[in-house]
Amino acid sequence: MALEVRIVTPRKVVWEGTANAVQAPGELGEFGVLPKHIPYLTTLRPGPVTVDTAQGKLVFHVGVGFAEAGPDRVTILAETCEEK
Amino acid sequence: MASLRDIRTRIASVKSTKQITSAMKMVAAAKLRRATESATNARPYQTALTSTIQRVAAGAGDVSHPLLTTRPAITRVVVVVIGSDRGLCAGFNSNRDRRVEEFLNKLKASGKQVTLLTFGKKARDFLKNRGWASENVNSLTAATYADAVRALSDKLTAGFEGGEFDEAWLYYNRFKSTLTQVPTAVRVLPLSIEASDEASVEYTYEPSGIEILGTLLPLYLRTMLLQAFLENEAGEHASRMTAMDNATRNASDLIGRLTLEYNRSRQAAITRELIEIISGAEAL
Repeated sequence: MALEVRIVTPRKVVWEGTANAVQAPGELGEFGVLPKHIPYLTTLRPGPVTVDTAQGKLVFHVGVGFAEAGPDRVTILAETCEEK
Repeated sequence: MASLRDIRTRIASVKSTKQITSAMKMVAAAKLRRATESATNARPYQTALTSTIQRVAAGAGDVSHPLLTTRPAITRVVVVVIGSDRGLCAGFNSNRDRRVEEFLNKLKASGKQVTLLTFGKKARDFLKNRGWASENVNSLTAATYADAVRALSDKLTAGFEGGEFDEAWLYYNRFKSTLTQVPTAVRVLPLSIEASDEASVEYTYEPSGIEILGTLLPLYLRTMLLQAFLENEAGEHASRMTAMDNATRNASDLIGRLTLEYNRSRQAAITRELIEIISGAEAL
C-alpha cells in the first residue's frame, strides 16, 4: 500500500510518484499523511514538504497552496515549489 | 509598360519582403511552440484546482462568499482587455477590440461607470483612438506573467471587496487551435462556480470549508487570469504565424508573375533590336 503523490504548480507538475508518507505544513500545523488517511483538505503555509519514497526522502519548499489527501493519494497544489 | 529595370527593382523589393515575412513566420512558430507548452503545463494545476473548488462548494452546501455574491445593482464595471504589444498578426487584435468597443458602448448606454484596464499596446491604442482611456498601461512579457497576474488579481479582489466596482469582465483571445482564436468575454468577478453533482466524499476540512474556500477563490481567480494570459500569448503567435505564412505565399506568387513579365519584356526587347539590325543591314 502506497500513496500516489502529485505536487503541481501553475508552471508544471513538479513531482509525481509513489511514496510511503508525506509531511506538509498545514494552515493549523504540520501534518503527516500515511496510507489509508481519511479524506482531508487543508490550506498550506509556505514551508517544507517531505515526501518519503522507497528511494529516500525528498524535500520540497512550497508557497501558498493547499493539499488534498485521500486513502491512497496526496495532491499538493502550490503557487510556487522548489525541490531542495 | 514598365521598363526592364523597373521590374527588376520590383522583384528585388518583393524578394526582401518575402525574406522578412518568412523569418517572422519562423520566429512566431518557435514562440508558439514555447507558448503552447507553458499553456499545457499549466493545465494540470487548473484542472485540479477547479475540481477541488467544485467539490468544496458542493460539500459546503449553501456557499456564500463575498467573491461569489452578485450585487443587486450594478453601477460600476471594470473591463480588462488582454491584447498584444505588436501588430502584424491579422485580425487577432482588431476582432477582439471591436467586441470590446461594442461592450463598452452598451455599458455606457445603460449609464454604467466603466474602468478600463488594458494589457498590450495594441488594445490600448485602439481604444484610445475611440476615446476610451485606459486607467493603466501594461506591456506584456512572458517572464512577468506570474507577477502581472498576481498584481491584477489582487487589484481586482481588493477593488471588488472594497466596493469600488460591482463586476469585472475579461476580454481575451481563447486559443482554440493554431488556426482559430476566439475573442472571448468572461465575467471574472463575481466568480461563478458550479458545485459538482458527483456524490462527493466527506472531507475533513482544516480550517473550515468556508475558510478554505476563502483561500481557494483568489487562487482560482489567479489561475483563470493566468490561463487567459497564456492562451492570449499562444494565440498571438499562432495568428502571426498564419498571417506571415500567407504573406510569404503571396510574395512567392508575385515574384513568379513579375519574373514572367520580366522575361517577356526582355524577349520583346531582344526581338525588337534584332529586327532593327536586320532591317538596317537590308537597307545598305
